[in-house]
Amino acid sequence: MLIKLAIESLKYRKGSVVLTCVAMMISVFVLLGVEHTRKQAKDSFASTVSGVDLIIGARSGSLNLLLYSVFRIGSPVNNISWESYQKFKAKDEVAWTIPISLGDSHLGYRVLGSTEAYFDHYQYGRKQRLVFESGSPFTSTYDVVLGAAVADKLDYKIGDSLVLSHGIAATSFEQHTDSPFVVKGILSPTGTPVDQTLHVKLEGIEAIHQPPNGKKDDLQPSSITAFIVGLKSRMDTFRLQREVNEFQPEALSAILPGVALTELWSTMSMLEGILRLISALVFIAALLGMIAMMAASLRERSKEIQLLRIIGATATSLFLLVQLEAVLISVLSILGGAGILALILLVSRETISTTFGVHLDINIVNENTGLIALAILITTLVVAAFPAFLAYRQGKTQI
Amino acid sequence: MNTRILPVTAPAHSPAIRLKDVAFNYTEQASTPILNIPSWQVDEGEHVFVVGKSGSGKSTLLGLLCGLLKTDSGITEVLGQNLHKLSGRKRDQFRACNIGYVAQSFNLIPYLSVVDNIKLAISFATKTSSSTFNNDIEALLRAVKLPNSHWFKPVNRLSIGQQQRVAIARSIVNKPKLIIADEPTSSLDQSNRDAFIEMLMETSDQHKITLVFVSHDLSLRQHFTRIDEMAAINLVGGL
Repeated sequence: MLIKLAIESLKYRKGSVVLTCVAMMISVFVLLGVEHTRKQAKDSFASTVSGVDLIIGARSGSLNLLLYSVFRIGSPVNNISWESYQKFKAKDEVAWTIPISLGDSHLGYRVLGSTEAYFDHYQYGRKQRLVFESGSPFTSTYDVVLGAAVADKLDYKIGDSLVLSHGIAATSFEQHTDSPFVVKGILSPTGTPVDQTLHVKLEGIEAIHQPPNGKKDDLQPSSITAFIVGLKSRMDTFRLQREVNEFQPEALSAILPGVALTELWSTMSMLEGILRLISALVFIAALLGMIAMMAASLRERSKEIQLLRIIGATATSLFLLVQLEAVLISVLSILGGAGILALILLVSRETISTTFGVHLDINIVNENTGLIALAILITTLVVAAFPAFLAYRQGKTQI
Repeated sequence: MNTRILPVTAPAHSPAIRLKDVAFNYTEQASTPILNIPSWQVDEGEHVFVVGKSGSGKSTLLGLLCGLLKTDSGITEVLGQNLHKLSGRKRDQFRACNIGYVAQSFNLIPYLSVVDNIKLAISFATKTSSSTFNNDIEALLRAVKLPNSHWFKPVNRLSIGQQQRVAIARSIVNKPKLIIADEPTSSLDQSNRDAFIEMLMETSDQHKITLVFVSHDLSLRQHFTRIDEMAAINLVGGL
């Protein structure tokens, strides 16, 4: 009956309760949103590259190399020469390599030049290989293999022809209109930047950059952006890394993706901390709003409190009544906030995926968010003890 | 004024209310008490009309009788229980089970339905949550002549007269032995007032409930056999 009384009492004071709920919902949304996005971004980044021992590119910070080679974020500082690539590719301890050539785009999607090795060796998530939704890997210079999101968004099918442009802007003045490419294959969705990428042969990249009336027979690339290395034995990882870093003819860097990712997280941890702090503060502000609303309402509810006492309510029941009301508002706000978050994720995940290459899951129910919800409830109980105590005291002293 | 001399010795049957040397103060420091009652007694089943101006200590007396306030000294015996020997929680429980209270206004939670208001009163008296709509509630609402189309409406959609009738039903749902009515008719018009007082009398006679009725409206005294002046009960008021 006390629960019913609490529910009806909240309904009776709809106006202020709804406003309080909205403020709480927004704060819960921020709290859960920050936590969910943080976790998902980490998972998404960590699952983008798998089974890779080394990434080798021009001499730069390891983060920069990782970001541009795997996540297509930022730009390479420099290319590396074809000769250097061949030299390391030929080493005994190297099992396979995937060359990567970046710098071109198609309607805002990045174009990646590589070899057939890309489809044979590239792994993501839990050592999953790329799978073709339809078609097959590229075989000739003007073949292009599309990531799932590219094919979906631009509505391309096998056999369609498209034009690749130089540079990475969505609309480029310098369209290579004379070099039409034909869609040869479309990959299944991976939830990684691969989905947002158009893949062509290294020779294709060279072809884009040929002058319109130039000869097109010598398409041997002279340089690539970076290359990914798989070793026969992981024991050789550090030795080869040192060898690359000390390579004399050209300034190169070799990074271990896992180590670089850890470095990325430690760079981000400060930012994460600030985000968490801000969302916690937003929540506390909303909570204080609720407490103020409840404390203020006690004055206008003094007759109600008097009546409850007269019909036999103990002062403790009044304490419980106020606590129950606070918990109800809190639960409603958690559900509402989570609902808003799920809705916003549903609407914006595509955009986030295309813009940031981060794949967000709509299912926000997990251990982490559960703990946050629990923390919200406990905080509510603790803070609502204040107006609840006021109600208790009012019940004790007022006749 | 038709004031009766109070019996000093207890009658053969136990009294419903027995006050002796009761003094009460809201604050420890106050030099003069608000209440000073040497002796006052109400027999079981008696209907007492207490007349008093505002400020004569009426509300304080009623607060003492229903255990919301605690005496500083003396004996406050209600239905055989010495209230100031009971703990706060026990007094709350005692009040919920044994005393029906009808006030001038705000007798019901405005946003609950008629039936839920009655269930709420039951829940405080029984401590069990099996508060289903049952024949008892139905009989009560029929007894106070509330049309059943109103039973599940929030009480703030009822007229004042109807609300006061529901208040009677609420006050007797736990079968109390004492009803305290504090100016229950002052917000009612003539016809509603007569209907209310008849219903209250009938109900308390039927269930042999002792009634303490406080009002300043002397036109109601015709319904009572015993009329006490507050000034005669409380010596502070008479000074």
